[in-house]
Amino acid sequence: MIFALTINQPRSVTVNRLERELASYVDNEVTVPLKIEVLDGVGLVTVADTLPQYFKLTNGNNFRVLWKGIRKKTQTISYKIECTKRGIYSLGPIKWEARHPLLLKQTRINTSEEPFKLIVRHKPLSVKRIRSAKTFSKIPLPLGSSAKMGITTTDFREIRDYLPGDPYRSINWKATARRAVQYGGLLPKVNEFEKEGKKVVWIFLDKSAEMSLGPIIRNPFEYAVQATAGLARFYLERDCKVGLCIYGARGAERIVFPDVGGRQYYRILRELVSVEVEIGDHVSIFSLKDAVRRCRGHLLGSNPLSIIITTITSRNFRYIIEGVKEIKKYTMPMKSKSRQTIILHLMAHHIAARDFVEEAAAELLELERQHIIEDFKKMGVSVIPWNPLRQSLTRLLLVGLRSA
Amino acid sequence: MESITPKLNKIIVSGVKICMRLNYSAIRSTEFLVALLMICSSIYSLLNNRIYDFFILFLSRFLQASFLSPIYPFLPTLPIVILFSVSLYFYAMGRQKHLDGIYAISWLIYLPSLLYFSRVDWLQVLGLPINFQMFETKLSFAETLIIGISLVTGRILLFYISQIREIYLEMLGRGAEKNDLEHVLPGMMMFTILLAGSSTAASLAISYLIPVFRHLLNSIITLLPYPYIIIGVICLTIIPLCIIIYFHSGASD
Repeated sequence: MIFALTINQPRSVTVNRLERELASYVDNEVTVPLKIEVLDGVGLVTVADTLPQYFKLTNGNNFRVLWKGIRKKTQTISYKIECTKRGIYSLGPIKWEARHPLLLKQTRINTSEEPFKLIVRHKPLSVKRIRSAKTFSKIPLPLGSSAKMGITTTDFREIRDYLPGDPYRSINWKATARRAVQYGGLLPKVNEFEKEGKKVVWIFLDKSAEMSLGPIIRNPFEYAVQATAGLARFYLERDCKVGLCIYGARGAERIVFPDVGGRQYYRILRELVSVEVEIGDHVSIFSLKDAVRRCRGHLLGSNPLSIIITTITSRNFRYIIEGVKEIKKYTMPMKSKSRQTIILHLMAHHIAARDFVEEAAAELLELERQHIIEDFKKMGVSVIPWNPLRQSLTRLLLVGLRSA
Repeated sequence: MESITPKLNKIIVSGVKICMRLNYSAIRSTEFLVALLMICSSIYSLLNNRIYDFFILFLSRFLQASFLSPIYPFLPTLPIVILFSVSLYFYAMGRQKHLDGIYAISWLIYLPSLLYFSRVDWLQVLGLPINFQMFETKLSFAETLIIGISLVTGRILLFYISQIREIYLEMLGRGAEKNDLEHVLPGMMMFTILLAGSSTAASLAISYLIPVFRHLLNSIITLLPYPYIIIGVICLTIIPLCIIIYFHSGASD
């Protein structure tokens, strides 16, 4: 007993992460390596790394047990995890406990605050094979849009009210002061110059509760996010300016103003990676309408291609119509047959269907919606139904090409 | 999942390098061996004791007069079979309290032999018509001592091995891999065996060294103005008190 009491359980256990930050795609494996160092004492050491929700352990173990003898123990362990949902996750803290070999002394429990940031995105959709999408694809390029934003030329256009997103250096202080003295206007005035023409695409992503049908990791919203990223990439690669508006029941919640290039793509991805679908049962009348109003400053004059990614239901179709009407207010009608507003309709019931019977029921519900879709078509809106379980977005883009 | 291939890993326990893996069945087998050793050694001491003969004689007289006379030829082996069966039942139950039962049975049947070597005959002190001479054993002092020490060692081993087994099950329940545990168990087992071995060695050393220093110790004790019983009681109070104080100091740490 005296001999056992002279021996202590390990006191200084150091657990370090060999990686601090990693980025991965949904359903891809990530290896998490840990280095464990036990300097003193004798006994049993357990190390447990805490995993956040939506992670699946695919290989190895995040709970390890080690024996520390007389000599210093250093061991590198690793395990593999698979994330089932996009997002920004933080792993840890790492919990460890050290036990006396005969449990004669109190077990030491401690945590090692080793942050590990894991960014999980959807796999980018490859649309490189579509060489002439303008001609054949159901997803058109914005033919008649003229840019309102872009590289500024030296040609003066007008003085107008300041809008969120305008650079401060464009404020015309003299005009602002004159206006304030004469009319008492509070908004600053900005100089507007002509911009180099870039075609503009606006993507309106619906995050309302209608999009949350089905399991949390495979609901329509997750596919909508994937489609948004894919479409943004598709248009940005074709030198279009892409803007994103994520809206919910309370209207627009996140807006990425239109811009071009790779940086814009990563800006959009950054917004998409952390956005979550709304939970609840309320549908707001003003959701899409409000979102369009918030972006009107950037819609006016640019005549953009507007893509609404949503799921049309009997509950929300009136509000979508309101939103489409609002879009039409700020855009000019096109002479060509190409439609300037597209609704990518996610077939939510098909996504949520678990078996053949439910699939048949979803088919019936979809038939019921046909008249709603017809109403949209009459308004000059192109509705593309998408069942992501049967048809990839790439396939959707190619469908016109195949039929041709 | 990656397949786990059994490998012999080097494990260092107190500077001793060993190459082994231990699984649950190995722990149970060790428990069985220890329990068997305890029971066998205590039964051996009982068989060599006069009280066993008295017991058999009493039983035979009782059985002759009853309807159980057909089992009379098996009478000498009957208590042994019962003892083994009860011990086996306790082992099969496997919990700490059951293993304590094995220890208690072993001590119960070993105790007469130990009392025979007692210098203080409590039965005579209490004025009873019997004394410890009725517990006469054919075993020598050394044999009795070794059996006693083996029982204490067995008790320590059983206690800590069952503790290791509980840790094993707890860790499995918490999601640890069997492979990890099979590498941890030998370390714990070796530590326990080292502890039990050192305790045994220390007990044997003290037992054999005491007669050597008897005269020296006697001269010291006779100088004390109190009877040795009072000194003994004081010592027995102080030792657990020191252990309790030590544990409390460890807990606050």
